[in-house]
Amino acid sequence: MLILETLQESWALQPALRHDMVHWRWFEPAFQAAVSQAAARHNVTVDVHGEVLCRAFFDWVHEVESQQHLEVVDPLDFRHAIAGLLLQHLFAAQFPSPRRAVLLTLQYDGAHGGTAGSLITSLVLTLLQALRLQAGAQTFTPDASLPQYWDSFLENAAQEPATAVCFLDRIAGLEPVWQTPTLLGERPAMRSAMVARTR
Amino acid sequence: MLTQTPVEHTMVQPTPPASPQQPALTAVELALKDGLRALEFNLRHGAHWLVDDVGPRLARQIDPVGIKGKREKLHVLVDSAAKGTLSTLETMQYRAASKAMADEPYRALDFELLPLAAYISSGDERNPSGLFAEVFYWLIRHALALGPDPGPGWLVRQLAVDEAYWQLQADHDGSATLGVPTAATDQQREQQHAWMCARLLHALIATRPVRDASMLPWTQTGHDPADTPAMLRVLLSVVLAVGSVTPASANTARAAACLHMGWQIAGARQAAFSGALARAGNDDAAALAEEFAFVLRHI
Repeated sequence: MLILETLQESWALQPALRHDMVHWRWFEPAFQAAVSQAAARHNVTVDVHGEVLCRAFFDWVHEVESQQHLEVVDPLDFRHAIAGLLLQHLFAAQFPSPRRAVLLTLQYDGAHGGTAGSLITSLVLTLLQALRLQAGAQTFTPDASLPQYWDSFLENAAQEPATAVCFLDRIAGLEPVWQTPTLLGERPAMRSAMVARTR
Repeated sequence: MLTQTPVEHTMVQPTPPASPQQPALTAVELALKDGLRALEFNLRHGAHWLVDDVGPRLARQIDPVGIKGKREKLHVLVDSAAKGTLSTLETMQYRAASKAMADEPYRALDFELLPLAAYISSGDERNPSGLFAEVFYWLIRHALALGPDPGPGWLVRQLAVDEAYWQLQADHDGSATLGVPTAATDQQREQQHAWMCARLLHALIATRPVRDASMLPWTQTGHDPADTPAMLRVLLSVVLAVGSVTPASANTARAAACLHMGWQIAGARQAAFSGALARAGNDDAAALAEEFAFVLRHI
């Protein structure tokens, strides 16, 4: 339900995905395509606020760039980490301080439908799976206990977007770093890889 | 006490090479063009005022019975006279636009942008600033229309846009390599390009190409749109639109798409660009260039 398989496959086939994803000309249409597909799956229609998305994108790539040096340490974990940072910035754009425009505006066709948080998470999980495939790794199976903490995830990420990094790790079966979620060098895989490199 | 008398040097000192300057003829031509545009703008507004305000008021004065009264024909007569005036003016404006200025692609924003270097070093010896002044004039006009509130009739002065070109040349001390990439590596080229964008934004801000049409051109007081955040966004979006075009990105150089993208990014990063501009001293251009480099790297 959360992973958009068609997009995942087409993105995974793009050899320059890791490079392209931090470019606005790739990211914007990819985002639009993903949230539209996710919205159709969740019985909602969605409007994307272009400028809010643009701000979230550049804030995200700024953070990615500032920790870019860690990519060589553990390239696969770095992909998980930057997907987490993306989720964080998209949540921050969706649940901003009062009187600011929001990223997604949803219109419900029926009584039930997905939330903005589920659409954003769907996009990021799909992108992360594609990044793994493109790096030669297998896709992961989302944490089976996810339904038990799904509501908690959405609520916490809306209030404190940095927790989205931790929840994404948990969904992907990695150990979350609740104290310093946005410091990529503190991630267990990164720390282990750094220790191994110094030996 | 011996006093040293000043020695008079009769030898002619070598004069330094002159900084590139806006040719007087170009300045006159563009001033006239701007003047005609301002006249056209004011005539159009005047004609609308005639139709919307003066005509109905005149009809009411002549015939207080009103439009539902018996002498309705008089109202129709005044109304049609006013509308006729407007129609004549609009026809004249259309003819002037289509005959005197072959700028339809620019007017419709239906053209391909070139990389920034092509505008800065156009290679046209007769009119080196011509292409720059024309394209940037129209981009600024279109960028002004992208805002949610187009403002109280802002006019773009092509003469000031042209001045920005010459200021850019003078800043670079007349170097023949301005706009021509001389850097060896991609990173150096990126930095050089970012510096050029930063200088261009500075030049456009300094020459104030947009003015409030309700103010007389020679008055300096009143509301100056150049100082507003909205104007920074307009100029920034234009620089980003052109700055985003590289020789390798020819398939993404449609002016309308680039300007729309520039507008979005300018809005999203306006705080960062404002901060860079606000930094004092010689760091100004460095901080601005850094921000341009970051943004352009991720377009």
